[in-house]
Amino acid sequence: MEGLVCKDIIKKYGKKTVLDQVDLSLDHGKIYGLIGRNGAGKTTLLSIMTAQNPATSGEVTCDGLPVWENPKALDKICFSRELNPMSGMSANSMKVKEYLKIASIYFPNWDPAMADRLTRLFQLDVKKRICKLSKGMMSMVTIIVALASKAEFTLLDEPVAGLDVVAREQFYQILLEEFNDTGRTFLISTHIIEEAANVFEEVIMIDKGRILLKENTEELLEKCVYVSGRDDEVDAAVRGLETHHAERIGRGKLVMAYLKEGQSVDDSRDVDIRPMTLQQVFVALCGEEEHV
Amino acid sequence: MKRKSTVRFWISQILQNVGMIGVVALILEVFALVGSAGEIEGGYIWFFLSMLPMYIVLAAAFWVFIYILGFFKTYYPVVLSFRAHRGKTHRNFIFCLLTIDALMFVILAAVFAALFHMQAMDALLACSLITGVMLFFEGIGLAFSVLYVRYGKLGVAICALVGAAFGGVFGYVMASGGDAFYWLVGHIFSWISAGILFAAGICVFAAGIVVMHLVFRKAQLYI
Amino acid sequence: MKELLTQEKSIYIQIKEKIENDILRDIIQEEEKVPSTNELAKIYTINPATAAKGINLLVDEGILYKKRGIGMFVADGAKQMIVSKRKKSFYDTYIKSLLQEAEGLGITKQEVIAMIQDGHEGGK
Repeated sequence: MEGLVCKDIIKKYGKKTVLDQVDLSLDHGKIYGLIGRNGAGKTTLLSIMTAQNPATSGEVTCDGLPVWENPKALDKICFSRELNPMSGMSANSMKVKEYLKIASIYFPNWDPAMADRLTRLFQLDVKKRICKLSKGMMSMVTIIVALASKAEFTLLDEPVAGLDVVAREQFYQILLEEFNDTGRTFLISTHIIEEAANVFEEVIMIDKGRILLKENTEELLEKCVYVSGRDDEVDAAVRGLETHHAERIGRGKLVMAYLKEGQSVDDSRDVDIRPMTLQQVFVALCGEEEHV
Repeated sequence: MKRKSTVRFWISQILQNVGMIGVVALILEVFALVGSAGEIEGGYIWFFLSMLPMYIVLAAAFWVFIYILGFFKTYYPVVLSFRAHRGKTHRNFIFCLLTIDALMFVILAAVFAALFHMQAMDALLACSLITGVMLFFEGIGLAFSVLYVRYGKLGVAICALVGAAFGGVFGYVMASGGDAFYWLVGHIFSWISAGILFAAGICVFAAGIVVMHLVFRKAQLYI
Repeated sequence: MKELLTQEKSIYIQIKEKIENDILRDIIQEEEKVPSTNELAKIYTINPATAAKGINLLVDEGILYKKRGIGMFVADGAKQMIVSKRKKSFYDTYIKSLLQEAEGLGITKQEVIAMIQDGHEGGK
């Protein structure tokens, strides 16, 4: 089966292009990470993929069926967006209880036992109004909706925003447990990269409305190294390789090398070669322009 | 899909508000009675009961207006965020409104016939009048809510302009229609008036649906 | 039981090496079951596909074998296999970088050998 597929998605707000020819394909049974700077287009992409907003052009299908207002496709999808007291259009004055009740009606596979269990685990007071919740508790509500929806494709937009480190760890545990039990596909967009990196089978990086890469996390990290040493040594060591984010350190230089199939850094040169973390890869690719 | 349970949910929501409507109507009428102290013939109780329907209708119409606004502000974005099917959500909502209207029509007709011993034809007439008023307010509520939620203050301005335009037309018709119009008002409890009010209600309701469809069909609802 | 994973090496390799170390230390013995990919995913908070990658490498090398429906087991002679494998890569893993570092610091071959001998005797 095809999975959740976006083809040639373009989204414009007036003259501004927010998403530019985005092609993305999510398979069944994987956990994906979506990383991008603020304003890169993450939330817009997620809301288009889940038919919450229309694209300017392009198509989104789920297992071959177009998603826009298609009940068969919508049955399989859940987008748990960030709850926000500031947003004009949101369930501000609703109680958590009511919010969850509405969710239970509209998600065909809703699991009330799971919703209960998570509510108790997070010690959430369901009688509270959403606008009175702390940022962390709002995140918990979106997590509960996402997990209890039991949707085949569940997309979460910054689910750990506002959660303390213990609650975040709980989230990753619960997520993996659910994934182990059901093999549902999850896509998590997050700014807290390192913690979550181990949980993602594949990582998608988006920058300025374009997909930079979509790769298996481990394989990506095996291809990315920091090379540092004296200027000329480093340049020689990385000759012919794709490099990013060069930094000057005195007479020395630090650069990221992105290795393609069969390539390697010339380690006969006097340079230090170090592996990179996912966060470092992201900053190197999407951070500020090179100063060198 | 889950039409039954969603409709049931919304109907239960609305019926919860029915109690409030009753309370508001009673309060309004009590104030009206106090205000008209001493000038009533035929006994307070009878007067109270006979005027109650009018106040209930006023309170209900106003309440429905507020409710529709609340729906689009609060529930609509939530429902869509869970199941992004605007067409279906719109249809279900209209279906709920019409169901409530139909229920109300039937219940009022029964009440009028049984409690007030009205003739069947008179009861039907009264119900048509009342339902016409409800549809009218629902239609306005739809258009207003939708424009306000989508365009904010600009939406309110649009509504005000349109309202003013219609008011102007209405005033002109009233002035130039003259006698005919006053005859209509005087004979409000006649089939012609009821028919006109009911038709007006349906037209405004339909217009409300059209506005809702145009404004929300493909609108960018969230960032 | 839950050791920290470092950022220096691929996770699936660390999983693989951790299991190998456990076999060497007799924490898991031959013909015993190793934790499943789901259990490993839970213990280390990692994606099960990553854990599976590590386990599959061990299966490919013959250190583990699969009993259908039950799980992964340590193969007969696995301990010996690991020891000889590590002996072979000892040169690449330790000697090569040692020599490179020594060269960078200007330490001669004789000095290195002398250090090794000191270490051997001093350590005892």
